[in-house]
Amino acid sequence: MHGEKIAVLSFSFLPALALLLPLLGALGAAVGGERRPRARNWSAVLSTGGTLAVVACAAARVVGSGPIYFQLGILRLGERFSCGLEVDAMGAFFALFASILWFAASLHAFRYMDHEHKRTRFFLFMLLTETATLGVFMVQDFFSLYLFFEAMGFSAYLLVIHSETPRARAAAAKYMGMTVIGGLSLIGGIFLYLGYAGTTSFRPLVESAWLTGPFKVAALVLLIAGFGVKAGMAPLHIWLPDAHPAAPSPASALLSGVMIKAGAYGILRTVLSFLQTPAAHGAEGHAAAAHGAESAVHAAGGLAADVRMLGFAVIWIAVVTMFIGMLLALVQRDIKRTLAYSSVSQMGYILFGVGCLGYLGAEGAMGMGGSLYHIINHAFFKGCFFLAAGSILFCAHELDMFKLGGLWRRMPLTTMFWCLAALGIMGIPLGNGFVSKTLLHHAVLESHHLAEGARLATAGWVKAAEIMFIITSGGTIGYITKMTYYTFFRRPDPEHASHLEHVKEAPAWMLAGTGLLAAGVLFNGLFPGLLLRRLVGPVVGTVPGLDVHYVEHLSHTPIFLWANVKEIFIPLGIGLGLFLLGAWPDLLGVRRRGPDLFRLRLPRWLGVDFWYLAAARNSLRLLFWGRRTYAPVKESVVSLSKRAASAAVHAVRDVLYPSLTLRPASWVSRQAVQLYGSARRELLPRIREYQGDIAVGALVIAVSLTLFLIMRLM
Amino acid sequence: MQESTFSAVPLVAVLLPWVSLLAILAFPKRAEKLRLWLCFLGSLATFGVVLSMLPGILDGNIYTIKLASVVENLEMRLTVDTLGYYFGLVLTFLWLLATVYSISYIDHKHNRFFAFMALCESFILGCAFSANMFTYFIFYEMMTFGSYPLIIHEETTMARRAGYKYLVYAIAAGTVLFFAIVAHYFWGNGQLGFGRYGVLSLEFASRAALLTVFFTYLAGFGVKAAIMPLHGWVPDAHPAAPSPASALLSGVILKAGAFGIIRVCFNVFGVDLMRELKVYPVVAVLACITIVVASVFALTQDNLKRRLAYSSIGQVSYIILGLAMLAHDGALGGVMHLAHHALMKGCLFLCAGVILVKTGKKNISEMAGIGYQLPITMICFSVCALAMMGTPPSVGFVTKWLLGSGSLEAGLPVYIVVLLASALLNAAYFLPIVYIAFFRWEGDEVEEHGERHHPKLVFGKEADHELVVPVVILAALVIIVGIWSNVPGFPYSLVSKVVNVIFP
Repeated sequence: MHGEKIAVLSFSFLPALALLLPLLGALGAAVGGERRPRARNWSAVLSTGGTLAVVACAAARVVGSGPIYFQLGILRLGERFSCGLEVDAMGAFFALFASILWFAASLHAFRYMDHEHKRTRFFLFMLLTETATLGVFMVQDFFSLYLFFEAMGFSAYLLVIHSETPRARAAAAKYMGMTVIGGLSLIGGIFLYLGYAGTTSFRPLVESAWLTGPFKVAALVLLIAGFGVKAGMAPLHIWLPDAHPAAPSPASALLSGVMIKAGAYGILRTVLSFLQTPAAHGAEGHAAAAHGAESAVHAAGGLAADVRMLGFAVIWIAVVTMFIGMLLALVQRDIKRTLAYSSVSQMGYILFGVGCLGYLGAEGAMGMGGSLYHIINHAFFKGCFFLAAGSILFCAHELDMFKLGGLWRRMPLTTMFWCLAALGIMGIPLGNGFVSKTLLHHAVLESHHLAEGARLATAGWVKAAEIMFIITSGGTIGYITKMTYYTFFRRPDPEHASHLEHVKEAPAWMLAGTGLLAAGVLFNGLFPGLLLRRLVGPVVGTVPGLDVHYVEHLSHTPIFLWANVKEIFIPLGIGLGLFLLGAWPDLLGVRRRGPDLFRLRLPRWLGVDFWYLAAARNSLRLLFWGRRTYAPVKESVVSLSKRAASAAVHAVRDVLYPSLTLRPASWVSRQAVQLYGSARRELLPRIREYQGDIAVGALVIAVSLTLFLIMRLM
Repeated sequence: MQESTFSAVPLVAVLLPWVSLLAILAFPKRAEKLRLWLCFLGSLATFGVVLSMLPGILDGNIYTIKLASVVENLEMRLTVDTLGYYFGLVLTFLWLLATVYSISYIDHKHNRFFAFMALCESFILGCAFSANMFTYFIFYEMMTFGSYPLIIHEETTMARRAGYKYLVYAIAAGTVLFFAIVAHYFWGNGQLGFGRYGVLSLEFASRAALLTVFFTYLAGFGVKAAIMPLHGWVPDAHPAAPSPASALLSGVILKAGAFGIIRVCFNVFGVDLMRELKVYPVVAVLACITIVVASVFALTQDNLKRRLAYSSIGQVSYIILGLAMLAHDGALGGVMHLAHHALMKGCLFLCAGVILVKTGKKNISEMAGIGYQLPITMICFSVCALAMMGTPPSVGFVTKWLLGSGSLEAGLPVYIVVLLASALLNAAYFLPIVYIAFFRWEGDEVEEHGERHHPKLVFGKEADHELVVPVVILAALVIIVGIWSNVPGFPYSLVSKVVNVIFP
C-alpha cells in the first residue's frame, strides 16, 4: 500500500499474542468461576503478567527495528477496508503502560475482590477490556480503531455498574449514554475523514476536492468530540466523576489510568493525521517517514492556519478542563471522587501538550513529548492512588476523608506508596510529575515565543494559558495535601476513632499492586534522561511531520536544573496557601467558624451536566408536546373524514334520494341507497379502526410531498 | 457472465417444501413428533438443494427452467441468478431455523401451521427464483394468502383483527402491483424479464409513463416493505403472530417487498434510467422518514414484539435507502442488509418467543431480571441488540459502514446524519431492554447497603433445545458473518458480484 513503508514493516505474532492472552485469561476466569476462586484469580494475574511480557518484547522490537504488523484478516470489505494489527512506536508506548497497569490492577484485585460480589463477572470483563484496550493501541487506521474502541467502551460498562447500587446504576447509565453518543460522533467523524483523506488510515492519501473547508473542520470536531468523551475532556467529562468512583477500585485505577488515555491517544492520532497534509506524504514524505522526518519542515511551511487554530482551541479546552477539575477536586470529601475530578484535571494537562503540538506544528516535539510523558506518569500515580484508595476501603470500610485519619500508623506501607504518588502528582522534584510538567511548561513557553515572534493575535491568550497552568498546578498541590493530611496524618475525630482502631495493613497482594505502580512513579521521576532518550524521544521521532531538531532537543532536555526547580515555588505557595486556608482549624485544633473551603457545597447549576439534563428533559418535553399536539391533529383528520362521510350520506338521503324517488328510477335508487347504507354500516367501523393509519399516512405523504417540492424548487 | 443453462434444480427447490405437506396429509393424526420432524426434513432438504447450487452460482452460472407459457412474451419461468440465489439462500436458512423452533413452540393446530409454513416457503422461494415480473407477481400473491394463516394462528381477537388488516393492505397492494405490471408490460415493449442493466428505456415510453410505472411498483411493493405511509399492518401483525412466524414476517416476508424493489431498481429500470428519471430523491426521502419516524414510534412501545416490529419497519428502509444512494457501497450495504437484518431480527423475535414461552411476559416493563432466568437467550438478545445499533464486530456494523461510505460516494453526507440518528434511537430503545434483563431484578431497590439477594445465572434449565439452538445459531452468525464477511456463501461474496456488475 505505502511503497517504502512495507520495507520497514515486519511481520510478528506478538501483537496477536498480546490480544489473545487476556482472552485466554478471561476464558480461564470464566471456567474457574465461583467454585475455584483461586484458579480464577491466578488466571487473571498470569494472563495479565504474560501480556505485559509480550507487550514489553513487542515494544522493544518496535523501538529497536521499526513497526510490526499482524494481518487479522477480519472485517474485510473489498480492497479498501480491512482490520489488521500494526504497532508503531507510539502504539507500543501506550500498550506498554496499559499492560503494566493491568498487571498491577489484577494483583490488587486478587484480594480486593473478596469483599465484592459477582467476582467472576468482574475478572471476565476486566480481561476482555484489556484485549479491547490493547487493540485500540495496536492499529493504524480509524476503521480498526473504532472496532476496538467500541468494544472497550461497552465492556467497561460492566466494570462501572459492578456494585449495582442505585448510585452505580445512575453512573453507569450516564456512562453508557455518553459512550453511545461518543461512538456515534466518532463514526460520523471517521466517515468524514474517509471522505477527506480517501482512506481510514492514520496516513491520509488524498485530499478530495469537495470534502474540504467545513467538512474537514466537521471531521476534526466530530473525531475530537468522540475521543474527548472518553478522555474526560470538558464539557464532555460529566460521566467521569460519577463512573470512576462507582467502579471497584482496581477498575477505577484502570478507567482513570488507561481508558481515558485511550481517548487522549485518539485525539493525539487525530491531530497528527491532520498535521500531515497529503503533500507531505508524497515522495518526500515517504522518505521522511522512513528516515525519521528529515524533510518535514517543508510540510510545516504549508501548515494550514486552521490546524494552528485547532491547536489553540485544544489548549484552551485543556485549560478549562484542568481548572474545572482542580476546582471541583478541592471541595470533595470522598477520596475516590476527589481522585476522579483530579483525573479530569490531569487529562487537561495531557490535552494541553496535544494543543501545544497543534499550535507549534512541526516544531511541537516538546508538546507531544510532555504529553506522552504525562500520560505514562498519570497512569502510574493515579493508578497508585486508586489502588491505595481501594486498600483503604478494604481495610477501613470508609472513603470519606473527614471520617478517616491517622492511617499512617496503621497502614505504613500504603501511606508510603500514597505519598510517592502524591509527590508525583504535585510536581515536586524526584516525583515523576516534575518532569512532565517541566516539559509541558517548556512547550507552552515555546508556543508563546513562537506566537510573539510571528506576531500572532493569539499570543496574549497563550500567555494567559501559561498562567492558568501554573495556578492549576497550585490547586493540585492544594487538594492532594488536603487529602493526604486528612486521610493519613490528622488525628481522627473522636466519634470516628473507634471505627479505625482495628484497621490493619492491607494484604500483600494489594500492596504488591500498589507498590509496583509507586515504583514506576519513582523510576520515572529519578531517571528522566533515560526515558526521554530511550522511549519518549524515539516515539516522538517516528511521527512524520515533526522537525527532527526539535525532537533531538526534546530527547536531551535537561530536567534537574535550578531554572526548572524554581518554577515549583509559585504553585507550591498557592497550594500550601489553599491548604492552610481550608485546614487551619483542624491544624490548630480549634473550632471552625465561617465558610469552609474544603466542605463547600456548590450549587447544582454550576455543573455542566445540570444543563445537559435540563436540555434533555426539555427536548423530551418537546417530543411529548409534539405527541400531544399530534393527537388533536389526528383527531381532527379523523373527525373531518367522518363528518365528510356523514355529509355525503345526508346529501344522498335528503337531497339526492328525494329527487330520485320519481319513477322509473325509484327502484334503482332504493337499491343504491340500501347498498350504500350497508356499505356504510360495514365501512365506518373499519374507518374508525384505521383512523390512526389514515392519519399517519396522510401526515407522511404531506411531509414527504413538501420535502420533495422543497428539493425540487431548490 | 455466462449464458443461462437449463436445470431442473430450481424447480426441485421450489417443490421440495411440499414434502412436508405430503407428510401432513399422509398421517394427520398419528405420530405427531415424527410428522413435525418430517416437516423439518423437508425444509432441510430445500436448504440443502439451494446450498448445492452455491459453487455454480459463485462461478457465474445461471440456472433456468420454463414452467409454462401463457401467451407470447408472458411465461412462467424460474431463473436462479446471483441476486435471486442470495435471497433464496437467506430465506431457506431462516425458514429452516424457524421450522425447528416451531416444533417446540407451536402448541395447537400443528398441521395447519406447518402446512402453511411449507407452502409459504415454496411460494417465496418461487419469488426469489422468478425470472420475470409476471412470475414474481404470481408467487408473491400466493405467498400473501399463504402467510395469512400464520398470522392468525393464535385465533385471538387481536390476531383476527391483525389478520384482517394484513389482508386489506396486502390485497390493495396486490391490485396496485397488478396495475404496475400491466403498465410495465404495455410501456416496456412487452419485456417483463429482468435485464442485467434494466429493460425499460425512454425509447419506448415517455417520462411520465415510466414515472407512473416506477411509483406504482413502489406503492405495490412498499406495503410489504413497510415504507412509512404503507406500514400500518406491520406493528399489528408481528405481535399477533406466533414468534417463529413473526421472525419470518420480519426476516423474509417484509424482504420479499424489499427484494421486489431491488429487482425494480436493478433489473427493470436499471441504475442509469433511475438517475435519468431523478426518482431517487423521493425514494431516499421516504426511506429516511421511515427510518427515523419508525424508530421514534418504537421508543414508546412497551410490548416487546411491537417494539421489534417498529424497529423492522425502520431497518427494512435501510435497504431502500441503500438503493436510493445509487452508489456502489450504498447498494452493497443495502442489499447485504437484507440478509443481515434477517439474521438479527430473526434472532430477536425468536428470543421474544422464548421469553413468552418460559415466563409468559410480553411487556418490557415486566422483564426485570429475566437475564438470570434465561441467560443464553438474553445474551443472544443482547448481541443482536448491540448489532442493531451498529456496534462492531457484527453484521449491523458492516451495514452501517457500507451505507455511510456509500453516502459519501453519493456526495450526500446528510444520509450519515440519518444513519447516526437511527443508531442513537436504536440504542435508546434496545439498551433499556438489555439493562432491565441483566441489571434489575425483583426487589433490587430495597436496600442500598448490606446483603441483597442477587439472582444467580441459571444455565442449562432454559428451554427446549429446539427453541434455544436456532437462537444461538443466529446470534453466532450475527457476529461471524460480521467478522469474516467475505467467506464464499456469506452475503458479501454474493452481493458484491451483483453490485460490481451494476456499478463497475
